[in-house]
Amino acid sequence: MKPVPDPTGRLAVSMVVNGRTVERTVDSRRLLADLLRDDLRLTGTHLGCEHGVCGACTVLVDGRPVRSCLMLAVQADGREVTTVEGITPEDGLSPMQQAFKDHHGLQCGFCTPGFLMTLAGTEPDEHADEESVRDLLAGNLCRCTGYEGIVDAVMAGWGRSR
Amino acid sequence: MKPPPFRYARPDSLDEVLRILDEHDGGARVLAGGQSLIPLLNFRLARPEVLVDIALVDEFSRLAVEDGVLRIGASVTQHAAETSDEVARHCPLLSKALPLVGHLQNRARGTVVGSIAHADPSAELPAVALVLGATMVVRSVAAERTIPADQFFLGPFTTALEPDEMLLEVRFPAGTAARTAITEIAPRSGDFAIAGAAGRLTATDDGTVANVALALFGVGAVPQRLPEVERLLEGENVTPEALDEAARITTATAEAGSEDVHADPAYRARVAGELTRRIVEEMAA
Amino acid sequence: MTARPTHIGALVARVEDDRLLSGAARFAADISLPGMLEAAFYRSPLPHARIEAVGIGDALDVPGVSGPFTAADMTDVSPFPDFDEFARPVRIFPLARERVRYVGAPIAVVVADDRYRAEDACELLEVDLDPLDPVVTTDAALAPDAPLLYPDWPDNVVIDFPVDNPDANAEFDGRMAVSGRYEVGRHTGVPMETRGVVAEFREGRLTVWSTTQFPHIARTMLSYCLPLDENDIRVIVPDVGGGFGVKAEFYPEEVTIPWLAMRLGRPVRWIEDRREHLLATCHARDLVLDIEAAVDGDGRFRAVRGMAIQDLGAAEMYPYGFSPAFTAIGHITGPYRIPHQSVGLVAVATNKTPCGAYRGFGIPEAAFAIERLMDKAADRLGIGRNEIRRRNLIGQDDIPYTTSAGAIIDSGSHREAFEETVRVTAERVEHWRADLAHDSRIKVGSGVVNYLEGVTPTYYMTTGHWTAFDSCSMRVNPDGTVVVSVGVSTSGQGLESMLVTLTAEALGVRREQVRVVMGDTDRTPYGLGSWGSRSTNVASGALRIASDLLLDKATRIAGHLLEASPEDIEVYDGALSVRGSPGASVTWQQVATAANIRTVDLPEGVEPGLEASATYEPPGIEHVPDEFGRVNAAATYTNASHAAVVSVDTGTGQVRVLEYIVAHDCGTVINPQIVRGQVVGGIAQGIGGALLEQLHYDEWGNPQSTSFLDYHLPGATEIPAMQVLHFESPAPEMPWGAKGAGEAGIIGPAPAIAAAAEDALSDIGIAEINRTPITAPYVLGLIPGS
Repeated sequence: MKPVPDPTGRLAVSMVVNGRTVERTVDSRRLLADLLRDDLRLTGTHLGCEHGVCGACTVLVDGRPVRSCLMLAVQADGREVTTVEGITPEDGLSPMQQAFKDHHGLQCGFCTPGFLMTLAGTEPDEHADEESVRDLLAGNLCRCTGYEGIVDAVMAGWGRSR
Repeated sequence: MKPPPFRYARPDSLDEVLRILDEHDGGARVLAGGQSLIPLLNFRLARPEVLVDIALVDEFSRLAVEDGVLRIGASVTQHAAETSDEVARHCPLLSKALPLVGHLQNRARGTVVGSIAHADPSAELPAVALVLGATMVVRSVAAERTIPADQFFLGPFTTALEPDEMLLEVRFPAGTAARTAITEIAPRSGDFAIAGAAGRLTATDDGTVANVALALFGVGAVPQRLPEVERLLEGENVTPEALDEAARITTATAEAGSEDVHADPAYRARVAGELTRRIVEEMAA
Repeated sequence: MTARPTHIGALVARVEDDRLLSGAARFAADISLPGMLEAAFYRSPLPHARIEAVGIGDALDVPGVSGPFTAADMTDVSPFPDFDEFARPVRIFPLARERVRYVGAPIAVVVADDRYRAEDACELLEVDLDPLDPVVTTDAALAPDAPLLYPDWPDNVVIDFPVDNPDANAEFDGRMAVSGRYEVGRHTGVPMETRGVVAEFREGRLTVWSTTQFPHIARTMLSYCLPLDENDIRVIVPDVGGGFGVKAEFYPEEVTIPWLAMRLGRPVRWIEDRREHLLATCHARDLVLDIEAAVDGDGRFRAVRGMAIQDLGAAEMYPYGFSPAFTAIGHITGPYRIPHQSVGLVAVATNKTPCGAYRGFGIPEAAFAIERLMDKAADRLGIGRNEIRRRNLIGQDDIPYTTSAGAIIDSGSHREAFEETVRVTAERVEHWRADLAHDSRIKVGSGVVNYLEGVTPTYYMTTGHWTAFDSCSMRVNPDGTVVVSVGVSTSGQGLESMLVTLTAEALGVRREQVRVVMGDTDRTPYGLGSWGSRSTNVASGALRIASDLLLDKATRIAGHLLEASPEDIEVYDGALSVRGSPGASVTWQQVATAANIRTVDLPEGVEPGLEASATYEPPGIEHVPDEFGRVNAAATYTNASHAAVVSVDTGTGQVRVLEYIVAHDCGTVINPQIVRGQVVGGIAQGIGGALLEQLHYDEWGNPQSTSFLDYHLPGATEIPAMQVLHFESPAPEMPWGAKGAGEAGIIGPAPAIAAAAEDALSDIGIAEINRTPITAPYVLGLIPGS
């Protein structure tokens, strides 16, 4: 990541997305979410509110869950970005994805990648009980499940019983 | 909901940041974590000519305790402060307040200093700064100055910062002698508070209040101290009667101008009293 | 063909999940076509104004912009037809003509290479609006000197349906009357995916990808509005991120974007942003039920009468926004033996976003009113709140029971579900009281409520169409795989899985053999789409008939191949076998091969091919109410009892739902996980509407809830753990006995939570909770000392 001494509208960025180096020239105002979705065609990251509340656009930046609608693509220059496509095994589902499937942790599935990315950036040990899991999930909204299946899935995905 | 056009600068030195701010005379905005600014851009409610991204300025990432002062630089994230042992040890009120700020995905990018500079009347950290008597370190091309927290917040989203100035660092007095507490009521977890109260209290061995600072947030245009309540409590024991009186005076004296879809001023004033009672009770326990 | 293993009720994973979990699903916003442009709408910033001029301003300075396009450009477009005979015609046009009636009404549209630039251009338009006096409340709309939203109307009344039933009135003579005015606030579905439309016009044919819940209805509407035959239009529904009724409306953008694609000769995409969504997607509820009941001294309700007053917003919504209010009237007695009712409706236009469909569709409003009234009567008579319900509930002995609204209840577990809920709730409330006893400021209470829900309703009251049917086609490919295509359409509920299960059940094939096609007008038979908890009923009904036709043929072919009588053929696990002779068996592949590509193997008199189509319209549905509003408008009725255990913070007024208990009966359960998911998901939305969600307007008609900072959806921290108790009373008339579970959960929370909060504060004694949302300021205002 280099300083940009002479600001212009378009900037070259380089970042590692799901393990691959990506270089693009982007408008300075372009949101990271739009870079991922429209430019890189990683459409598993969804935009639900574009103001940082719903969590559908959650991705990992340098391993930490962030809102990709509240980050400019240029701010991801030089960083490592992981999307739901990046946590999905070649053949099948990750244990947490499988737990969502087993426990009906999704219905329409629009919010689901955001939940999965929040969980992918979380240490299970820091969320010992159900109350703490619910706190963890508070930054991701789901309109279908009533969170029942999601909480079940997280508990199962982390090898706990509810 | 896409941001309007702007130019983007990413200098790697403080001087360059200040030069750009100076050059644009209010047309440039500092971009730190962006958790307050980028929503405003997406709604097209903010239209800076230039965004000055401070991510490359190394010195802004400093979080350190020196000479009894916790210094938090402009690009220290809320997450970094929340998980910092130093913050927990030297500034426990800040540690308690941070989990109430937005959601974890916001705190991963949002900064402590940015939240204070944004001066949202319902935000927690400005009230924490006020209770703790924090000092704002501010600089422009021309000069550096410090502004005490009680002179920093002028109105909703309005501070004592001049257009060419930047808030470089917030200095919190370190110390664990005081007991501290913060509480708030919000429609849902992670939302901005409808009303909140934060406090710091020291008591003698027999329970007499030696010193207390209390502040409300979400209630009026700016975070506000409660001098009458503080005077009432100092030198006294925190009895149930004193708590009732503290709540009553808070409700009566709070500047509760905030009215929005969530609550009217009367509700905010009444709940401010109740929340004040609760934090004083907690701190005195 | 009996005694084969059943798929019904089996716990099986959904077939939709893999693509949704891996990011491979394709939602409307994921569609990208070569040369595609993106659209942005200029929407009215004023609640009520005359459009004087739409000027281009500096918009063309933005590179690649076309537009603005306005109603004046749409000379080849017709307004939405008005079918309803009761209501005043509204003549919806895709872009506002002459006048705007709510903030958010689309006035003009621009396109550009991307959405950023389209928004840039929109901002630069110079639109001249002449403000008119806004009408913001129903009282203001009904005032004699009210400004008129529709200048050629004499007043602002869209529909006036007075009811004066002398039998109901007679019950009030000499009896105690209990009355209340119950207001369910303005909130709406708010799916996590907003709406979106992508359109392409190639070689004289229009293809539209839309987030709609009813692709065939959308195509019919497009054909009314655009100069195209239905044959020239294909509507495709991609993966949809939740609908909840708000996508079962046909919107202006669904015409405008296809029209732009035709006009510009390039594909056009419009993805609604969240601010637009909160302004331009239908709002809902905003209904007042002002009712009174005649009650015997022992608590038995004898009659209910009163008025429903519906704030429709600008009324520019199709299917019609007043229909939920009729449904509310049809459900006003709940599952109670109340012999007479007399409830009328007045629906008025105001300068707010038009109201339309949202899950529950009037029934939550009815349940809030009658359950609150029942609590009030119980308190007044000194009868327990549970006891009064016990005395009024429909019992098994009463079934079949025709409610005074005309609903024919042919099955159910009203009392059983209630008693079980009461029992569990009593235990749980004690647990929570003990758990929170250390904090004297926190009071715990509970409330139990009941309801019934008419499912699979007529479309007449909603659209003016005299229909309630749907359809299914099934085809067996030569390799034995089965394609099932249906007229219903999913927005994420799991219909695909449900249909796989039913097909496997009906044909005795393995689930893996079945592929479901829906949401594509080129590939599915005509149907009305998915709304009204109807999909399970109507799709299973049509599927059952089609599969019987198919099985008849398949067993004849199998019998011929196996030299056995067709009556002796049974089907399961992908094979057709001679009963009692396990070795004598053919696969579906063999049968389908004979039917399709070795027709020489067919028995005499059997035509080639192995496919069948059927339609199904449930029996007994009436379309039009009589003069007293009575109508059996639904195919069947589910029932449930709900209980909320809540805490109330007496210092702040904040209500928290600690635990939620529900006993639910939707007849035969096809997939228990999906049914449970529908129920608990509905409850969560109901809790949101009861406590958090409100679309506020200021006194001048300016919307105040235009982001998620001001419109609060419940998160995992606001929704409690839920206990679901299952009851199964199969519907005698329905295929497999299943009733439909889509909407039920949302009906109970508001009255249950209101009752629980009052119960928690019973020591203090507060005024009745008679409106939603039950916010902290509202509750604190009820506690003395304010």
